[in-house]
Amino acid sequence: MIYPTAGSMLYMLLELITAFLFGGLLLGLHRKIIARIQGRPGPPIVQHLIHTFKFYIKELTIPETSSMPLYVAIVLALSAVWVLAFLVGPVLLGPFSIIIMCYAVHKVSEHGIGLASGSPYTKMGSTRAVLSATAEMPLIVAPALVFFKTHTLVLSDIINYQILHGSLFMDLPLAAIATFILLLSKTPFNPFGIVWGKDIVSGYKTEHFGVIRGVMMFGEILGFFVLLWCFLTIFFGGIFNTPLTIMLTMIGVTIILGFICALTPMIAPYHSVMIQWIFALLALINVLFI
Amino acid sequence: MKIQKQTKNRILAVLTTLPILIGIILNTPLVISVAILTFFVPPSTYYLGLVLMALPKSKKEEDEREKITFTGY
Repeated sequence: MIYPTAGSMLYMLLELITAFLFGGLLLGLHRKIIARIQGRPGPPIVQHLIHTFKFYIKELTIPETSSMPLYVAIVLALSAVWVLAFLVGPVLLGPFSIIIMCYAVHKVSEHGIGLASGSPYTKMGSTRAVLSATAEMPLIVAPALVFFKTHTLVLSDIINYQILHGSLFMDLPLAAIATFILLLSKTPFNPFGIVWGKDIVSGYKTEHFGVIRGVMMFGEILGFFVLLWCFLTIFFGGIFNTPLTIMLTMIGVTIILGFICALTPMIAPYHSVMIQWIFALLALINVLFI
Repeated sequence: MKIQKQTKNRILAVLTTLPILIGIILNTPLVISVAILTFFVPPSTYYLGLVLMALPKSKKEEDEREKITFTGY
């Protein structure tokens, strides 16, 4: 009999499946909240998961204009990047720098997905992915500040530091807000979501249907889970350090994200970048408190 | 000899799922487990999806598939 001991592959696989299911439910909840605020009944909370599974049994169509190997491989790369980030982060509590690297590669994947299909809408989406990559300054500023405060970027050490000295949110509130803005920018229907804006149909995702869309959604669900977990662990690790408290807080943060996404319109691409830069620069004020 | 698309997808689904199963059975070291999961989970879900996609959903659909494909007017 094989038992899922910590660190074994079965254990990691079970955690991966759990995170995927929980992340899918969170995104379903997010969509439900947006609908209720807008006065609609909205889809059931499990709809996002059903949507993902549905794509697995739908016919795969590949446009004639696409670059076939890249069209499939880049989506697999996107999912692989988030699987790695999940294993390094929530499962192994390893170096946060690897998660940052995964995030950077995910931006490149978004660009590649847009270019691979050959559609003008997806190309526009991929161009915006590059533009929005310049807005990811909080991803550099926040870890830098955390490093100067804790002298480590290993997640288990950051949690231990917070258990001893209190949550980093109290020391680095502006860095936490900047990271929250970054998290918001990765949430569906967010005001900074210029990459998949409806003015360009669905951005880089316009031409991806069938199984390949299912794989893409699998990666995105994991990505949302990882970013949410990282935000809570890095800034509130002193308070929320058990699976139950983290899960409950994830639900709370998703509700807040839902409110923001429902009440704010999508902003213009350049404004989106500018606002995220402002928050990153504000976070630098926290240097004074280190 | 040309392999049918469905057969090729089934072979690839087995080939990409097999390392994960072997890793679970042999209880591979941590680094190898992480590498296997990172490299094989996305393609295995993709190829399993392709195999699932090609399965007939109902008897009616199965009968439909057996009909001669429409070749144009």
